[in-house]
Amino acid sequence: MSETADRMQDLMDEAYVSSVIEDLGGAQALVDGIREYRHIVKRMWSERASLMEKYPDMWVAMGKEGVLAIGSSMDEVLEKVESQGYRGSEVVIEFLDTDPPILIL
Amino acid sequence: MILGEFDERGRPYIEGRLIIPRLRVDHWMFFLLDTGAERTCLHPRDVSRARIPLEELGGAMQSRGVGGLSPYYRESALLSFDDQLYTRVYAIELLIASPHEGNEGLPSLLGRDVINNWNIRYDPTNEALECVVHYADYSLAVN
Repeated sequence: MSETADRMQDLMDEAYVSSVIEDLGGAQALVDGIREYRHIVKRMWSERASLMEKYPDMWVAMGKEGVLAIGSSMDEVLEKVESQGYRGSEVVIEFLDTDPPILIL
Repeated sequence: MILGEFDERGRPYIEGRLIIPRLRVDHWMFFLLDTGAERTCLHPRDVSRARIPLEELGGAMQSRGVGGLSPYYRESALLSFDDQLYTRVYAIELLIASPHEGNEGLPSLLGRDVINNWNIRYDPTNEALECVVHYADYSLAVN
């Protein structure tokens, strides 16, 4: 482990991490949430081409029920999602970019 | 194993759950798997989506990438992943990007601070992105 990782583990020992996980519903709840989110991500990817045809260069939010909001900015879409009672963390928000840049990171 | 996937542009992604206890952030997200990134980092789209209060962040630093220097903050965080029978948890020092024009649309990156603990089968041709965990800070059995 790196020095940074050692330091993080000192800050977050097993008892602390266990209490944080329990507060979130336990290990099963964590995994269930990730699996649900993964399903939303895949749905977004499978529908991205058709959404791009309908809403070119717009922002879109998708939840487990499908498309939740469309807007011209990330902030607009996030506000629409939150006004429906969702947290931004629960949804996938993407820009339907008709001319996506090549990423070199 | 932890399963990831490739999007339609062939970019490799892994879903996980980000927890920042100090800021009460609990965030589902997908990371771009990036062996070129030394550290895991959050970029503006996810920072906004999680409503992370930038004004409460400290530990300002700069990182160097192909786009030049970029400002980040440092924050203690937990990252968890679905490893089928286990939830794998890593305690990391997360880098959180300060937003600017150059990083607006970038995906958040899963860096070598996490992925060096995995043996990864990277096979876009067969749509296989499979990560066998060699080490996790915490491994919690799933019922």
